[in-house]
Amino acid sequence: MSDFTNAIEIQGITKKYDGFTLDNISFNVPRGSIMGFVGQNGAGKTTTIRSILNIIPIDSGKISLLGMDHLKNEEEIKERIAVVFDEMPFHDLFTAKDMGRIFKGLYQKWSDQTFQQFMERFQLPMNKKLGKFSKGMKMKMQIACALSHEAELLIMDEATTGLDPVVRSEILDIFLEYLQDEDHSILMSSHITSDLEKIADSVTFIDKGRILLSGYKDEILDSHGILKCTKRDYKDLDPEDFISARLTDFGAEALVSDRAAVARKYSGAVIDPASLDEIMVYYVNKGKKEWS
Amino acid sequence: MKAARIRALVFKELKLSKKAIIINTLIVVGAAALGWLFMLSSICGNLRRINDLNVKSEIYNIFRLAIPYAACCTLGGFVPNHTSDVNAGWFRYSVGLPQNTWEIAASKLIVLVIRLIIAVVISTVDQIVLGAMYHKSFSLEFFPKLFILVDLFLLSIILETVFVLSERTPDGVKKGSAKYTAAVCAVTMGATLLIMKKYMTVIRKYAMENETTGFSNMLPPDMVRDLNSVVEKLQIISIPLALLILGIIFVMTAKRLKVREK
Repeated sequence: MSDFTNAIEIQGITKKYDGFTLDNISFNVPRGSIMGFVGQNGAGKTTTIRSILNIIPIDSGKISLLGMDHLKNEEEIKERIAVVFDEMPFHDLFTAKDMGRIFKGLYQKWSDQTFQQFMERFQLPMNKKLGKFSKGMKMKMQIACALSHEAELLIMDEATTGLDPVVRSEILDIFLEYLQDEDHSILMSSHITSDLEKIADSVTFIDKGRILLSGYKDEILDSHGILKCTKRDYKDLDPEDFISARLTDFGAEALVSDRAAVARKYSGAVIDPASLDEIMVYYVNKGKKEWS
Repeated sequence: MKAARIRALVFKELKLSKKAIIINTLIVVGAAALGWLFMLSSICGNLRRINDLNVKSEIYNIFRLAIPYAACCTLGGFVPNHTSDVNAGWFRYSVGLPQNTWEIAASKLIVLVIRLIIAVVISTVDQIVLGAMYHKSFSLEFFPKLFILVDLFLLSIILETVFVLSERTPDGVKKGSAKYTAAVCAVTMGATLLIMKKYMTVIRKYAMENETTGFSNMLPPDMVRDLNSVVEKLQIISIPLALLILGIIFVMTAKRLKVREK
């Protein structure tokens, strides 16, 4: 097994379009972990993932997957990774049996037995046309294909979007099982932060093509908090002490990135824990500083 | 492993094309059978029964060109499968699969050759049956002449690879297909205009001086002579030319498939 620390290393990716730029994106996905890649619709998550997979060329930057350059070792990398998109990319007239046959030819490590086991576990029919599958079935089908060839890295682009809570929970459990093997890693892009709060080890926030924040999920949740105060008290806050603040008729709620320090500085201040969702919203409004 | 990948991709391409191949084969066989029925019943264009060898000659001459042409046109082409790949999202997904564009191109070429073999078999069977009805024995000279049509058809596939195979979105494929259709129409019209320009005076003079009946008598003798001369020259190289064009299609397909989304 090759020796590398990070399953994905991205350094300074830049990609320009008319009206949108992926600007100097850098982050790492440590081996054996799951990273949640969070952002609003149109933030640049899918563009970043397409760059990683070489679906689109980048203007500058360096990408390495499983310790290898993503262009020079493309074929070897693709044997060892699996991709799951939000929409099932298989033709409607194919059956699961057909897909098994195709993937068996494409992947050296494809296992019919593992595929069969997943199909039974997900209760998916082998001989029914994929076009007749429901959305949840289609996603399970993609995942069954992704997990049947000993992939070391799973890259998922909005894989749980549009699924009902039961199916989402089932799928998230599968990912946790996948990560039992410490050589397995997952990059999961999503705007459903509740899923990531359940399973992610680390989180990267992206907005308008820029990284807002990246780090271990527990550290981010422990360090960030929402300071609630009156409008009068808000005026006494040092702008350096908070990321952004939401002003209401009754007061202000400001996201702080160092709860302990802020609590010491403003004794008596009420600082509630913040969810990933709230952290994302406040960071997105960082440029405005105050918003309502 | 490469052979296994190409086999898997050929299976995928054939599975996508299966319905179209079956339906188109039935259509062409049906059209050929129509010609056989006409020959058997000696019915001419106005449905009057005439026991005349000239009628059978007309049917023979029309169908021995029309069936191979129809077979080639309806049994080949990359556009439908590429359109399916783009619309399903398979093309984008397949960038993450362990395959290279040469393997994909090889699989598409193999399926193209299979479809052409079907077209050649249908054309040959039709030629044998028509010939038997017209008391004309089958000659191996049929194949070099058939491959002139195959070469023309393969040249249109090159236009497909130029206009359509580098498109990566459903809208792009539609636009590419429209450009391909426009290019084929432009080339066909251009060639027709050139021929008309060369022979218009001759055709007009011949039509005024003769009451022409039947397809074979519609064209002036010197035009027929020129056409036969062109066919004789082309049939010498038609089969190796087909192999060369297939090679060009293979290389161009692999290169166009390498084009990524912007």
